[in-house]
Amino acid sequence: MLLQLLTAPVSLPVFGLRFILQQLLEVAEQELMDVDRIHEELLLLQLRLEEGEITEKEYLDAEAAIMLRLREARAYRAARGAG
Amino acid sequence: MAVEEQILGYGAEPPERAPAGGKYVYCIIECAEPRAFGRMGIGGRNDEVYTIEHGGLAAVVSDTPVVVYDPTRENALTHEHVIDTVLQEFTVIPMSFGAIFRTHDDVVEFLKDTADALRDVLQKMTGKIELGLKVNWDPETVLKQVEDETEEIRRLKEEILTNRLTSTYFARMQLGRMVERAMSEAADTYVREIYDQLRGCAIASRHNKPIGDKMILNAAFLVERERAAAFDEQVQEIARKYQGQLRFQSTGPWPPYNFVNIHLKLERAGAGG
Repeated sequence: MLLQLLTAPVSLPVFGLRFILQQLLEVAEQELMDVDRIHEELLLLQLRLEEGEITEKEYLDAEAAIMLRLREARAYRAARGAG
Repeated sequence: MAVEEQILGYGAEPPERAPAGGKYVYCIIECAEPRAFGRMGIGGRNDEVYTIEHGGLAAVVSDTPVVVYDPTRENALTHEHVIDTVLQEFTVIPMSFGAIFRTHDDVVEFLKDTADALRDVLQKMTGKIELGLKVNWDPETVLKQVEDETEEIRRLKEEILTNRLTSTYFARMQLGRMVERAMSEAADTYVREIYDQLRGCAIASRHNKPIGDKMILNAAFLVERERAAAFDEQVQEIARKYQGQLRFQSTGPWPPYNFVNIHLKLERAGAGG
């Protein structure tokens, strides 16, 4: 939702504000597309399964969502030419 | 082991369209004759796991379309199971998940190019296993302990509660920092003591990042096979010592995932293919 807000067409009266919004957008993107963070989430999820905090089904559903994000992150990095 | 550049290009192609003939590599062993280990290959096709040899070294592989495999639990378990099976007979250099070569010849080329490094590692890893150790505490309990037993924390908390300070906001911040530091020190103390107990039985150790807020240690130990039982005893002993405070989880034996450090720099175009 943050991304949507930031990319909505808006005319900004102040240069400074635009600059800050741009920074926020970059940080948000980084967080979403950071493969390491996503991996950490996956590890945490697996831990919760091991500890019996979630069911197998809950795990598989959450895992599927994480895999989608991983693929997006990879594609995103490829598109940006990142290593 | 780190594969610095993934062998495939980025962006998975759906299996139906991807070129076949790729080789998923699980591990490297020393073996001169061709071997097969059973129908347990990754990808849900029950592919045969077999070897590709060159110069006395062999890559344990199965056939695969050239795709990027998702690191799901299922795929990871499949990968692990193959390595486990091979580990029953051989010293193994484990590959990290997802290493695929485009062709049979690429695998041979790889074995040729890295033969010396591979032999060196295999020799160093002979007779050694990796044992994992995760140690958990109950943060709530430790928090309470830290608050009760640390003079300055107790005092500050008391002053905040009874509103004796003019600015409780900053006091709360300070309290938070003090508590965090105290808990961190408590964790460090435990970890030091655990290492002291285990040091004598292990050749090497490696810290990994603890997962979640209950874990204070997530480590791998390289141990000689004959010392594995002694190592285990030491873990039991220190677990007994801290019963009620810490929970110990041992895993393994594993192949030396955390102690093999070959960096593979491969051409983006695809492993010399």
